[in-house]
Formats: sequence, structure tokens, C-alpha cells
Amino acid sequence: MDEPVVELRNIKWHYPNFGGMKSNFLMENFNLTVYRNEFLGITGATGSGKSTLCQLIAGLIPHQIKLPYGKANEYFDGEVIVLGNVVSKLEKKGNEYIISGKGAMAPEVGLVMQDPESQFLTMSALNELSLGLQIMGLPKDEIVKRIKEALEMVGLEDLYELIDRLHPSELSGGQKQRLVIASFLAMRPKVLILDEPTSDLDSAGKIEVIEAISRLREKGDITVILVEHDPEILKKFIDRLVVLHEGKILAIDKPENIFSDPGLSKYIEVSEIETIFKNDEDLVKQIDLEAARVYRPSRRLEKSGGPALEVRDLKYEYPDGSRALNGVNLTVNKGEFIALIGQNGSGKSTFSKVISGYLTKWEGEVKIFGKDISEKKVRVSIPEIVGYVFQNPDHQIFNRRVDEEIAYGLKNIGMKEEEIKERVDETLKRVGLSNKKQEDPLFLSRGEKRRLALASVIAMKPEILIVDEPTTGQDYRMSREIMEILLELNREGSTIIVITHDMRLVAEYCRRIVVMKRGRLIFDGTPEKLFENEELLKESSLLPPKAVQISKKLKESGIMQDLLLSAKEWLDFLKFENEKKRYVLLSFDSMKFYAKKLSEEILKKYGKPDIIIYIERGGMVIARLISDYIGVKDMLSIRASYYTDEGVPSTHVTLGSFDYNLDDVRNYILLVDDIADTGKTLQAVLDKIKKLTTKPVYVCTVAFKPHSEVKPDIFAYTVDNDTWVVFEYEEQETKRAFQKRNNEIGLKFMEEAFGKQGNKYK
Amino acid sequence: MAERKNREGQKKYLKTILFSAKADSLFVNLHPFTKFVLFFLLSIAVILAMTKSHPDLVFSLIVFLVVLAFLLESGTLKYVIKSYLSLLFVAFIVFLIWWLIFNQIGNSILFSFHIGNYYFRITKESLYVGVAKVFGYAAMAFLTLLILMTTRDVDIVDALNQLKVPFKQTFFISLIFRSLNIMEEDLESIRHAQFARGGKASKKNPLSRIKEFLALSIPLTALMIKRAVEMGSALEARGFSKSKKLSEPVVKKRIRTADYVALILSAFALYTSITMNVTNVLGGQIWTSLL
Amino acid sequence: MDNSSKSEYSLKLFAGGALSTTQYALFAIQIAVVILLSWLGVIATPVVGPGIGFLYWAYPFFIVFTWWWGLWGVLAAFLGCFIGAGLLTGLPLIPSLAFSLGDLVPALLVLILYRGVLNKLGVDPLGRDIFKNKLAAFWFVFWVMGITNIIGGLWGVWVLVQLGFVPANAYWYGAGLWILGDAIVLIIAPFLARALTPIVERFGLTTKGIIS
Repeated sequence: MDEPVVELRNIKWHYPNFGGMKSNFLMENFNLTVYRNEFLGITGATGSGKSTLCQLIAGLIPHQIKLPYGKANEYFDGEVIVLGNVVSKLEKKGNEYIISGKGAMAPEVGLVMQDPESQFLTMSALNELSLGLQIMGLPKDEIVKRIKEALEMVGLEDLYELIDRLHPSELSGGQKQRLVIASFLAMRPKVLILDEPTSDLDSAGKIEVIEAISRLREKGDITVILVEHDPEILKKFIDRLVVLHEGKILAIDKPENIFSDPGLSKYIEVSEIETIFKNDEDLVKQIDLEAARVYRPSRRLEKSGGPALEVRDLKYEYPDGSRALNGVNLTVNKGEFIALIGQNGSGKSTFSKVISGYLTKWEGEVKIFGKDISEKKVRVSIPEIVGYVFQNPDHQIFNRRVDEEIAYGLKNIGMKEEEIKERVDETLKRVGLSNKKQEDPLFLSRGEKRRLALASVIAMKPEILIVDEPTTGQDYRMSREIMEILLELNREGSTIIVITHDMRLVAEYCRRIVVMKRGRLIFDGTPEKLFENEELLKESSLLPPKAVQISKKLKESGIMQDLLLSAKEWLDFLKFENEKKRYVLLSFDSMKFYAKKLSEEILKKYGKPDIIIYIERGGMVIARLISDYIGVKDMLSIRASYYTDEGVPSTHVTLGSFDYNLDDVRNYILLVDDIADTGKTLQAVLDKIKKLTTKPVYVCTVAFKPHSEVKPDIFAYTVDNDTWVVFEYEEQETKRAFQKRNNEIGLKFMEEAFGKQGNKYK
Repeated sequence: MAERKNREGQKKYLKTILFSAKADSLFVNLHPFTKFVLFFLLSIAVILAMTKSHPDLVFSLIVFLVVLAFLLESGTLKYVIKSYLSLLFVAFIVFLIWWLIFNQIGNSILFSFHIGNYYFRITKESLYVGVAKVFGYAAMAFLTLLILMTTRDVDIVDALNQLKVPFKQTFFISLIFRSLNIMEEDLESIRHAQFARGGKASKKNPLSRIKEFLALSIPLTALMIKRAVEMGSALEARGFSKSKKLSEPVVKKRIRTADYVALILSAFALYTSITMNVTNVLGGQIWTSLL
Repeated sequence: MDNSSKSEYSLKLFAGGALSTTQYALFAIQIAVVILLSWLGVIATPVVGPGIGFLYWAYPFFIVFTWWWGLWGVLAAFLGCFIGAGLLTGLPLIPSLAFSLGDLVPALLVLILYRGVLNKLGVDPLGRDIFKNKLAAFWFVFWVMGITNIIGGLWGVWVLVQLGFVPANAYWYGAGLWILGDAIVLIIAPFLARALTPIVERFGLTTKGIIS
């Protein structure tokens, strides 16, 4: 980073108002420098000025904006310099103020905007890619070469053979956007500005595009300015990050510093994962292994109402012969909150259009609350039951006022005027658009439009709500708010189907994920199951969220039992780890006391066992004590351990050999251990014994933890899941284990406990 | 992306101005310039056939059948039948009725009635004229559909480029096509959005139709105005207004033998239409007497 | 809208500076809208002969386009009709060109009156006050729905008669249907102006002169 390539000096910008609601947006005394070969990120909440900044740099503002003649000074001031050229400057000519400067500086400066529909200007992919190059006057061979390179960079090289035959309507939104990006990459700009270019892309597509740009940067002389919300992308690729708020720069720094600054959490998504782990290496050292071993995250239970949606062998072919759905089978129960994910072009949107009753010429069976939607009278009533929120809000919004947009559906379902007014106000409040009630939706920001689109449907309180990409183009805070709205609706009884690429939100909010590929379902299950399936993830080009990636490493090494799916679950775990840890000592005297108690109970309940089997080594002491009390001499032992020799929890129980003949057992077998902790050891031993005998096996332990997979038939007392029971006779081993894991609290306890005698737990 | 390839991985169908057509069909592969000239010559030929004192029904029929054959060959006849047949059929009937009502010529009465002083009759001659007009118009209407369904918008723009029409003008044509394409998709989306929120198809009375039309056209126009602003920005971002000397387009369709054959045949058709009445040559009088 | 704003709109050719790329894109879109609506009107409600639809939906649109964008709207009327109602409905080239003048001339006459005369009499040149201003309402009915519409109808059907598409005896009936149908659809023009003009203005897209 050396010489500046972009300089904004004392910029003032205020949008002109030719009618309607006034824009409060104001940029004043704005200064920013971008250096050669830098990869600069811009982030901030919706409406903070990110797109305005991009267009200022690109020269579209103020040159493309109609300003009252001679009064440019009321709207613009300062200077924008790009690559040594004055792009925009305020000049005074006599009594009038005008804007001078070069304006848009293509091809040296490229700008890729959010909406691919308005940027795709021609009628074939080839023409789209070659447009800018023809304007540059390049020879044909050079154009062809650059087109090939550019397609490779955005991961669309397989389109090359058909490039002159591809019509824009044959491309998905994501493909269109990638083609637009490729068309700029082919022009080899010196400064490339990308305004949320990947918001319509799936996660793989996103990464592919950003990596392509990153590679381009490594190859040649290019400065990149990227507007993005995703902190993982920003952290991975950019050098400096600018945080905007209401037209002002809040912070400029390295992304890791920005994202770990809790003071900025109001304005941007400060990654909670980043604040938890500075880096994800040596995680084993950073967490308490024992706590990790026992911790089970608590998750929302999915309701299991009757089927709301039943789909059998659904097939759909578009009029041009392309097959979008190839036999989809799915049942969604009432009250579920499921995520429907898949790459661009997998059939998700077609599927939702069939379910919402819009597409009609499909094959198969589709029932909504038991009614077959192929029947006309059922289909006509679908809008009252199924709400559909479009992927592109521009396609959904068609009224001229925000409140009228929400009222439209309510009028159609026959609601009274007073009720409509109340419902509209309530819904506007819910989505944070109360102050835009009378605004023309055409002039809302993309994020506001998306909220309006959602509001116009949720106002109708549909029983099934299908939401297509609700969080695209939203900052993370707003994305969470939208998901919370959906969750609230779900709690109120709506069945929610979310189509999304955002794996973080899926992991956090949805208990069931359905994955589509090429018109078929290839997965239907919990997020945990999906994230553990590497092959499926690869096949579907899905990237698990960071929280999952970190906990996956721990699960694979046996430290954790479950994946933690979100930052929230991680925080809950850490809270568990830090706040709920307790240690109790069980002395030998106490063991004798409990052995007597247990023996009395055993005899009372089951009578005398034929044989006692104990698990080494923890069960040995209590088993001998019990055998003395109840007078059973036949004892067998089995080695079983859930820990490695290093004291780290393993992924499975290691069993020693057990080749005894149990045919003589007439009554029952008593299986004894000191504590039912995870229950894995007990279960493994039980399974082994039951292969050798059909006689009953009763389990007896001193202590029992509720999360144990096996609940003993007889036990002396219950301890909390997070309590470490230290047995006196295992003092040395326990101390060694604590030392190995750097468990200082445990060591402190040992010091205190074994400095004094006596049972602390009765 | 729509899976429109066959097993060999070839793109079997091409998206054209209206619907799609088989990529390897004869008419699809004609140069747009050829199609334009063919359209021009044949329309003049058919107009002449229709406007003669004794309209040339057989000529119009031949053109009509040839066009139908090409529609079939290009795989587009199914679209015509699905989407346009009922509309066109109504148009043809209306057209015929107007000619029967307002062109009551001849003496060989086939059917007649009177209401008060108004006397209506259908004669062999008026029926012949009406049918000839309808087939002439049908030939042109189907020819237009054939061209729209077998020509890609991109090919028209490329053809204009080859004629050295300035870039900004040819690109303008391309932008019109792109706007039509976007409007088609936006219209569909607006319809869907209205359906999804209970906007039911209204009754058939004119006032409801007008309301329905407004409900669709206002948001569509508003959206298109906004798109114009965005397209303007997107064009500027590519340096459009500063373009000086542009390079040649990458793909140029060439005029081949098939084009020359098509041009010669259409010129011949025009010549035939100018110089003779095919119906009469083939014993036209006998035909009318058969009616 | 105050009088000073109304007088901004005139018959000057270039009142607002050079043409912008946005205007270029806007013109393409205007033509596309008129093509689509012309074609729809002819195909959905055919009467008289080819190229004529009873409910010619494009008409109110190119009238508002003319109000907003001056000559661009007039040209869009001509080109849109030529392609949408002419070529795309099966009319050959020359008849299409000729009968599309039946849209160009009315649009041009509307432009001349509104920008050249009516705006000086206190009538909104963008057509927003038709429901509020009696003078505006009168001129809309008399001039737009009446005179200019009649001129267009008489011309258009005459062309088709000359070229053999419409029987000569049907001329007055045909012209009558054309004029009546157009008058009906023109009712929506004030609604369009009221709903959409604020958007056009807010984008700063109205053309103060007749070209820029």
C-alpha cells in the first residue's frame, strides 16, 4: 500500500429532492484515501451510505444525478480524485455552481452494483461480456481471450461453449451477477468497486467470486473496494475496513480489530465468535475439556403437529422444456421452522411457486392441510393460507405507498377498514418501518424494501409462510431482527419455510434443513447431521458457519459430544464452563455409608444377585463393599474406559475382554460402578453382558448425573451434570488429570480438600 | 440454468424473440437480413394478391402453407397453437365478418336475411373475397410469428452492426429488446405477487378489466422507470457515453447459400404476384363455381 | 404545483442541457412499453381489420410519456405502434409505417397544445390536475380524447382502406370504433399521470424542453 489511487476530500453530498419524502441523508466533510493494490472493505448498517460512497468514487454521483441547474453547491462539495484524475469537483462559473470532472472513468474504474437485472444490458451472455471490451476498441482475439479468463475467474467456465447462445432469461440471478462481474473483470480495471455483488449468490458462489478477485489482485495491479456485510469474507480478504454510519466514518482499521471491538456492535456485526476465540488454533488449551465432554446444548424442540404440507413426487417442467423439479418428496408439519437451501438453480424458487399455488402445470401430488391444491377451488384459496415473500422485493411491491402495500392483501381477504389500519400500524412497527408509512416503496433502500415485502405478507397472518432469501442485502443486525420476527410468528403457530444461503442464521434458527440439488431433495434432517456430512456439504457447496467449524474440530477429536451451531450456543457453553463448575469429595467413609444403603435397597428390591460385575477401576471399591454387605462372593470385573491414557475423552468406549460364562445365572446380575456420568461406559458394558445372557441385569452406582445415557436402577444420590465427583481413593489420579488439563480450579479444590478430611457431600 | 441440452450436451433449443426454436432448423439459421428482405418482399406480394380486383386466394394459401411448414420444421408450431391460435382465430373471424358485411358483391347468393330495410347477403363472390383476405392476412401474421419465433434478438442487432449502423443505434435496439425481456419477467412477477396476496382475477366487465389493467400496468411502468435510471448508471459504468471507436462484434453471422435461395424464392414470389393471378391460372373460375 | 414550476415546461428544444445516458435508456424503455401495449391491444380486442384493437392500451401511456418527455414520447408512440400494432400483428412494413402516423400526429398535437398554450393558461403540462382543474378537464376531453383522437382514427383507417385491409364501405364504422375505443382507454391517462408523475419527477427525469 503506497500511493493513493482514490481520494475523497471534504466531500459533501445531499440527495436532491424533487418531490415526495425528503431524504435526510447527508455526507459532510467526508475524507477517505484508498491506496494502490489495497483491498478495502466497506460495511455498515442499511442506509449508512455505502452505495453512495461507491457511486461517488465511480463518478456516477453527482454526474448521473439530475441537479437543479446552477445550484450544484447545495448538494455537492469537495473533490473526488481517482488515479490522479479529478472525477468530480464543484466549480463556480459566474453566479452558478456546476459539477466538473471526468465523471465515470471506465474502464479504469469498474462498478458492479447490487441488482443484476438492471446491469445485464444485452440479450446474450457473449454480448454482455464483450460490451465493455468493444467500447474499449480491443481486437477480436483479445476480446475472446479476456472473456475466457473472466469466466474462469468467476467459476462460469462451463458456460463458455454456449456463450453466444445464452439468453438472459436462461440464467439465474446469481449467474447474471457473476457474468456482470466477469464483464468488468475482463476490462481489467485499475480500481474495481463491488457494491454487495454477492448478495444474490449462494455461499460457494460468494467465496468463488471473492477469491477470484483476490487472485486478480495477486496477479496484477488492481485496487478493490468491496461493500459486504459478512465478517468472515471481510476478515479473510480485506486489508482495511471502513465502518460507515449515517454518512460518516465510524472506524477504519484492520478487520480483526474492527470485529473484536464491542463498541461497534451497535453498527455492524461484531463477530461473537471472534470475541470468544482470538484464534481457533490450540482450542484444546482454551477450553475446559471436562466441561466440553459433558456439555449438551439445549435446543428448541420442534413441534410435531399434523402435516401442513405434503408433497409427493413433484415434477415441474418449464414451457421451454427445462426440468426444474425432478420428483420432490417432502412433508412439513404444522409449526415447523425449516430451512430450504441449495445452490442457485437447484429448484427452490420453483418449488415455492408451486406450493404457493402460482405454477399450475406440475405432476405429482401437493396437499396443504390435507387439501389437494390441484383442485381449482383449493388453489384459489391458497393465498389466504400460504404467504409467499419474494426473493426480489421489487417484484413483489406494486403499490405507491408503504401502508397501501401492506393493506392490499388485507383488503383482498375481506378485512374491515378499521382492522386494516390497526394491523398495518402494528406490522409497520414490527418491521421498523413506521416512519416510512407514506413513502413510495420505489424510493426505499433495498433493505427497507425487503422488510416491506415481508411485512405485506405477515400482516395477513398466513398459516404457512414461505420466505425467499429474507436476509439478503441486510446487515446482520437487521437479518437477526427479521429472523426473530419469523421465530415469533412460528411461536404463534405459523409454519415457516425459509429459503436462504445464510448458514449462520439457518444453524441458529432452524431445527430442520432440507437441501435441494437439481430439482431433488438430497438431505432432510437436523443442522448437526448436515454439518457432519462432509460429502454432502461438498456436493451442495455449502459452508458451515464459523461456530460449527470450530466445534467440529473439537467433536472430531472427541472432546465435545455435540456440535455447537452458533455463537449463542458457544456462549452458553462458556457460561456453563465458567459459572457452573463444582467439585465434591467423596471420602472412603462416605463410600461405606452409601454401600450399606445401596445394599439394603438392592436386597429389598431385587433380592440377592447371583453375581456382581463391576467396572474397573472406579467400580471396584463400591462393588467390594456391597458384596461384603449382601454376602455375594461371585464377582467379575470388566475394564472399560471412555478416556484415553492421556485423560482426554475418547470417541468411543474401550472395553477389555470379557469371556465369562454366564449360563449359571438364575436370578439376576448386578452391574456396579462408582458414578453414572455420561453413561457411555455403562451402556457399552450392558450391551456386552446382554450378548452373553438373557437374564436381567440391574445397574447400581453411588452417584448419578441426569444427562447420563443410562439411568441406574439403584443409586445413592444425584449430582449436577457439571459437578466433578472426586473419589478419595483416586486422589493421585485425579490430581494428575487436573494437571494435564491445566485445570487450576480443580487443583485448588484438591489442595483444599485433601488438606482437610471429611465428607463434604451428604 | 435451464437444462436445455440433450444427452450429447448440445443446446437443442435457442431462446428467440418469442419462445424458442430448434437450433438446427432451416429458418433459424437464415441471416436476419435475409428474413427482413423475405418479409418485405412476401408482404408486398401478399398485399398485391389480396388487393387485386380478383383476389389471389391460391397464392395466399401457398404462402400460408409454406409458412406453416417452416413453423413445424423449426419446432415452433406448438407455441403458435398453445398461445396464439385462439387469439388469431378470433381476429380472422372478425376480419372475415367485416368483409362479408361491408363487401356484399356478386349475385350468386349463398345466404341472406333482412332486418327492416337492411338487407344482408353472403354471395360466392363476397365469400371468396373475404376468405382470400383472411388467408392473405393469416399468411402475413404467421410469417411475422415465424420470424419472431426463429430469430434471436441478438442476431438482429448483429445484422445491423454488419450494415455499419452506428453502435449507439444498434445498441439502442438491443436495449429495447432487453427492456421487453425485463418487462415480460416483471409482469409475471407482479401477477404472481398479486395472486400471492389474494388479488383474484376480476369479473369480465370492462370497468373491472380497466382496473385490473391499471393494477398491473402502473407498478410495471413505475418499475421500468426506475430500471431506466439503473440502466443509465450501468451504461455509464461501462464508459458508454465516452465510447469513440468501437471494435467489431465477436460473432458475425454470414450469409450462406440457404440465404440466397430464400431471397431468390421470395423475389420470385413477388414477381409471380405482380405478373399473374395464380388462382386464375389454376382455373379460378371453376373454384368459385364449386363454392 | 405553482405557476413558476408550470412555466418550466415549454416547447424549447433543449431546455435542460445535454442528453444523458439515462434518457437514452428511458427512451428504449418507452418504446418497449408502447410496443408491448400496442400489440396487446390489437391482439386482445381486434376490430375492423389488422392493426386495429378496440381497447388500444398503449394510447394513454404514450400520452403521459409525451407529457413527461416531450418529443421522446411522440417518437415512442410512432415507433411503438409501428412495431407493436403493425409489424408484430402481421401488417407489412409500409402499411405499418403509414398507419402509425395515426399515433404520432395526435401525440404531437397534444405536446404542442400542452406545452405551447395550456401551460400558460394555468393547466398542468404533466396532466396531474385533470380531476381538480375544470379547464384542464375540458381540454383533456376536448383535445386529447376528442380532436386528436379523431384525427388519428380517421387517418389510420383511411390508410388501411387504401391498402385493401378494410373494406371501403366500412370506413366510417371502422373509424368510429377506433375513436370510441381510444376514448375509453384514454380515461386512464389522468390516473396514470397522478400515480406515476411523482415518481418521474422525483427521479428528476421530466424533460423541461421537448428534447431535453
